[in-house]
Amino acid sequence: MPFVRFEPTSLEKSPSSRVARSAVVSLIAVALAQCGPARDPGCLGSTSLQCVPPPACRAVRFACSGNGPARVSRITTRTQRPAGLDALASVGDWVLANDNVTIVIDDVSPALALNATTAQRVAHNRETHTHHLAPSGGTIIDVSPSGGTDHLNQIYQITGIVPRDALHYTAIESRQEDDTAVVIARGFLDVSTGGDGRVLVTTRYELRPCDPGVRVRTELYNGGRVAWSSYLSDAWFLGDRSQTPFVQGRGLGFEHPELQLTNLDASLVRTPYMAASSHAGEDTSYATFSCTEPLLDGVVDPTIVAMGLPRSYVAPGDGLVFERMIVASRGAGLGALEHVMAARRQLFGEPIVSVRGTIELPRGLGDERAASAVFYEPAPDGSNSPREITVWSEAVPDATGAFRVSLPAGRRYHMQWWRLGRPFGEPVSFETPTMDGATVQLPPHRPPPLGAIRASVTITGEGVRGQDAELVLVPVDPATASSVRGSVYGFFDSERCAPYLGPTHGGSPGCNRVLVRQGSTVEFFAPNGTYWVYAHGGPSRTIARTMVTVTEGATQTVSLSLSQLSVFPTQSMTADFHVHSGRSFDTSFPELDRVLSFLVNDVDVIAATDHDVTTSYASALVALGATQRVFVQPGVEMTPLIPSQRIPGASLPRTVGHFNAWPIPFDDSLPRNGAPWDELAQPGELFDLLRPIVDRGVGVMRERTGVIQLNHPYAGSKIGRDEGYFRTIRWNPTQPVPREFEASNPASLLVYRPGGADGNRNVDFDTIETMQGNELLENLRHRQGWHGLLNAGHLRAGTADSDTHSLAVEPMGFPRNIVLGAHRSRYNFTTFNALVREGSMVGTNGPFIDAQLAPTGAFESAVGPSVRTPVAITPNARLRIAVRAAPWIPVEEVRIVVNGRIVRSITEGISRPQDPFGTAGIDRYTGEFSLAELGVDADAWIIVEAGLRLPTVVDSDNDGLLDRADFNGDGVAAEEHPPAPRAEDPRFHSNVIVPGMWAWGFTNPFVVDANGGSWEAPNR
Amino acid sequence: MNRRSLSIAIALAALTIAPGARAQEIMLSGPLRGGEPPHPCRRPRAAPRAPIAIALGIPGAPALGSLGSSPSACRFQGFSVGGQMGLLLATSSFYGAIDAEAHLAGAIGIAEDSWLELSLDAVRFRTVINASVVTAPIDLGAATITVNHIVAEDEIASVSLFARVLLPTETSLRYAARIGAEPGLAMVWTPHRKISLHGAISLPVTATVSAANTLMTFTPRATLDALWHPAQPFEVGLGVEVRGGLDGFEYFAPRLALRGHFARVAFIDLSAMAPLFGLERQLARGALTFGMRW
Repeated sequence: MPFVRFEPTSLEKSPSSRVARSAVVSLIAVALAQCGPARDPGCLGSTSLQCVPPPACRAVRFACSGNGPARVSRITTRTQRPAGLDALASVGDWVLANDNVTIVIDDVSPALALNATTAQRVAHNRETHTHHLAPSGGTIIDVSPSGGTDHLNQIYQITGIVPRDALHYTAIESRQEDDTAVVIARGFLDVSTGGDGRVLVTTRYELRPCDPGVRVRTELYNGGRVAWSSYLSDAWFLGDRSQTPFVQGRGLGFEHPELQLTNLDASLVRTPYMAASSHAGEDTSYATFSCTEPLLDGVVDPTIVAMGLPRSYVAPGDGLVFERMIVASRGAGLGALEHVMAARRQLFGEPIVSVRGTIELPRGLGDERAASAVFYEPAPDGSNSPREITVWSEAVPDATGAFRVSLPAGRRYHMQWWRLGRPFGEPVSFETPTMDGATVQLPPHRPPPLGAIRASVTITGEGVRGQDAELVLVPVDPATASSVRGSVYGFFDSERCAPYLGPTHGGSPGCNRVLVRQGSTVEFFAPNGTYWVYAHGGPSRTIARTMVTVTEGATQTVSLSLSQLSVFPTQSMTADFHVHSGRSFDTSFPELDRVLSFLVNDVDVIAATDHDVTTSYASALVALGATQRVFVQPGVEMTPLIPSQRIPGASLPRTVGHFNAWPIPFDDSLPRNGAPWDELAQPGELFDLLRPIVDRGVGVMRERTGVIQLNHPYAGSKIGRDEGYFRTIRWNPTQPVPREFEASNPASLLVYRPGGADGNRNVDFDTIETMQGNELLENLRHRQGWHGLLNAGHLRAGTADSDTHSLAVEPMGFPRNIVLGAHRSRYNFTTFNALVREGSMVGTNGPFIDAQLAPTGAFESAVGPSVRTPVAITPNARLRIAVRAAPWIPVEEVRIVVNGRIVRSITEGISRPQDPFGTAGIDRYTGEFSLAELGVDADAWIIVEAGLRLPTVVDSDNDGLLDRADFNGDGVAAEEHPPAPRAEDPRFHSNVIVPGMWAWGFTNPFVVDANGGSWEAPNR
Repeated sequence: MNRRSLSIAIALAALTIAPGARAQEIMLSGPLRGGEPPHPCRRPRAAPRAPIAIALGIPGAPALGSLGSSPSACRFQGFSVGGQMGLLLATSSFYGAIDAEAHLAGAIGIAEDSWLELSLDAVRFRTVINASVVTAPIDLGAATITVNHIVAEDEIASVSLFARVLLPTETSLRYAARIGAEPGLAMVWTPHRKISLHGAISLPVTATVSAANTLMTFTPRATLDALWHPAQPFEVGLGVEVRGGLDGFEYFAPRLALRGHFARVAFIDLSAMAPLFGLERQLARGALTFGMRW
């Protein structure tokens, strides 16, 4: 029995009014019929659940043989979820399926009673079938071609660019109409974000037996008081790195105008169709076209694509109807466009020609993405200028090298081959005949064969747990980098990816990196050139390199050896509390490669923190035999996407940034695999939801066993979505935190309890991500925020995480946490997380700092860093520091920070290893200081840092945050990023392994009570 | 003064209980102030008296022909062309709307005390800003037909009934058509030959009819305008409009007009209004009209 709930509105009519209305409608229908082509209004404006919208795209028929009927059902077990990391279906969702395709529509959850208890709120939240950017269920979350995998994050409906313009469904039902399966969702604009609840919407999803995708009809009725500018469209949440969008048109294809939310005109494209293709794992392509209009109006961005009707003025009492299809095809490239061409031939009478051909593919490596072809009409002057050509399609040959693509008849085309992220050879010119249904056979293409590298890595030394490693290639001559750099048709173009070995956000090989599994030899293609091939296995191992020259058709063999080093204490475990896999909406990185990257980088504990979905990596851990090598705590990165929070002084609603939480039981029968829904809430409310999940116990008697972390507190925003909470509330960390909430002071939101007196404060997270990835200035701002909190008396542990999304962007385990006192043989997540919460940690991307505080001066009773309890000290208290780092990690300076101020910068007595590839010279510095000489004569906190010397940094805009640095040493702090190091620079090798890395480690605070009594925060 | 007011009240009551009564049978009489009797409708060297002409249609459709305007209580004939414009700016909700219409209007007598008015928004431009989603359609607007009939008249006052019909001529509606009606009563009182007071009450009702729904509006309204004609050709008006509706109190709007009268029949009229204190979110409307009236 489907759940159906509908909130009647003031537009409900009495029977008598319906009779009168019918009479008037009849008259007006006659009048309208005289004025133009009849358009079926369907249920436009109807509030009746009995009204069934008419079928969509009635002029389109797909032929097939032997297909059974399309079926509609609901998910009842986890096994019914489509394959693929992006699949989100959970028990209760709605499924349309035929022999070609499976479509999942998330369920519409019942509303929560206003007087619900906290327990009810938590339970309701976890069962809410709402995902990503949509304000409700009733959206498309999975589309999987038969035998293929789902690569779709979400398609939902919008009428504009602000959250209130999203369609919010409140009722959903299914119908079986003969051999056609139908799901109907009804609702209105999203009132929770200020939308007009009198604007009624109905969407009919429909699948017929031979359809390669879903037919969608959306009706929008303006029952409100004001006229609206409506952009009724499907919003495709591509999430940034999961699919590559394509739109047909002059100067378009894989190139699009930049999305400017405040200037939509500048971003708009008009196109007959949009397609998107994945570039990792078992590929799927998707496409959409309108059945209402010949062209779609759209905006295209790697994060979000909107395709819909032209922007329309909708007066009160009037409406819009939008019919379109969303089709899918298995395999690499844009195979879904074949369905689009077939449909548009029926809809608009466009004659289509089939173009076929073959290419000789390199043998032996089995990569069907080894080559692809783009088809376009040249510029009017015959040139191939990207801004002037009209791109029509893309083809990826199958394993035999054969390809087929449908193109409009009677045009002249160029076909450009691509491989390894770059076009190669001259375009092939051909014409298509004018006759519909004709076939064009192109001559076989025989490109020069690619060169390849075959590599293996061994790791030796005491305590080696595995032989997994990563290879990184860089041109020996940096000047040649541009000739071997590549991208996915311009997407994800990064100067790091030279030589380009594969899509940046896909699996290995990706960008300029290759994972090498224990005991195996890896073989991969590379563009012609001379490269350094580096091998590494994390910061506690040596690095090695060798030079190879890749030439056409030849395979070079590389063998490298690494050594295990004793950089980190045996009585510790290394951990990365912020990692992503293909389950996150913004990457396609396969789980198997992700787990392999854990092993490569020798990380012991992982918090699996995909965006808005829980992950366990269980099957990948088993497949790689790694269940005893890496301990994974399933978790989530709470990633609010709907701007809903009014912050004092901010003109636009904001999101509250990102928060990690672990452990969260992985349950793929639940929405988001058990992660809570995180929209429309302040951080304290999110913590209210998370605590009962991550902490063990029954009822209110909960033992704190999990960890909630504020991520990258000063990260910026993306498409209007804030990623760091401190940035959201514009907190100047040099200013004190108010003790009480003040409505006019956004910084006081930190101490606000949004869930009520019994709820958590917005500052009640356990840890703060002080170091995230490898942007120095960004990390210095996070560090400022942490220091500001400590100064305000909010003692939180600082962490260092990679936030890795792929091989090349934010490499795994750089930085990481060294959790002191933990041990692999006694690993227990409860005690481990307790150490994390209390800050028994060192955060680092290379250097390890062994710091101990002797409260009375005797190191027999020394303590490590901790934020749990202030340590009472005597005037004899001393601090002992030892710094260790692998020889390839540069260490130039040791800093002692007291209450956020560097009181001692030590550059003397720091050893520098002669051979960065050797094993000698790990111990870099030892020293001992009395706290008195450091000026600690009152309650304080002390942190020790070590690494590269910090450049001069300034706050150029007086917002309290460091934003410019003197990286080039010209005496002017004007740069945001350090320059790429030259070969003789001590940063060179570390920057090959971790691009942008500024070697740096920090201890957690020693909180010292110098006066007895209660500890007084420095800036309270 | 009190007697005249009482007379008007009695006349209105009589209209209510005896709608069929002939106008001639209800004579509004009383002593006149000043020397020359100020005829309620005619005056030397100027077009017949008329209230402030600006109108606000209905919520979401600020211009619908003459719907929502107060007609003259004086029989007249003539024609006019003009334009009006409205502004809605709600920055906090990222919403804005501007409408501008070029309208044509004409009036013709159909009996000694009855006349017919036609009004058409011949070209209608609207732009709505929904965050950065902007539309700016230009289309044919609404048309109205108004039948007016004087039900009482004497030397200083005139009372008329009117019935207005909104015709479904708007071309911007895709799946609907809008119709409407507006019965009402208008009156003019000239206590002085240079001063006239105009009042009107009306009951506009519209229905935007689509296949599965009808969006109704009912916005009863009342206006009171005072016009002062200090010297030829100038005339100045100040007034107020109060409007309610199905959703609640719509607005209280002060309004003003500046007029010039030329060659006995020609006029130029500049009017404006600003809705306050209610649900209506339009900030202001203005209109400029040229015409001839006799």
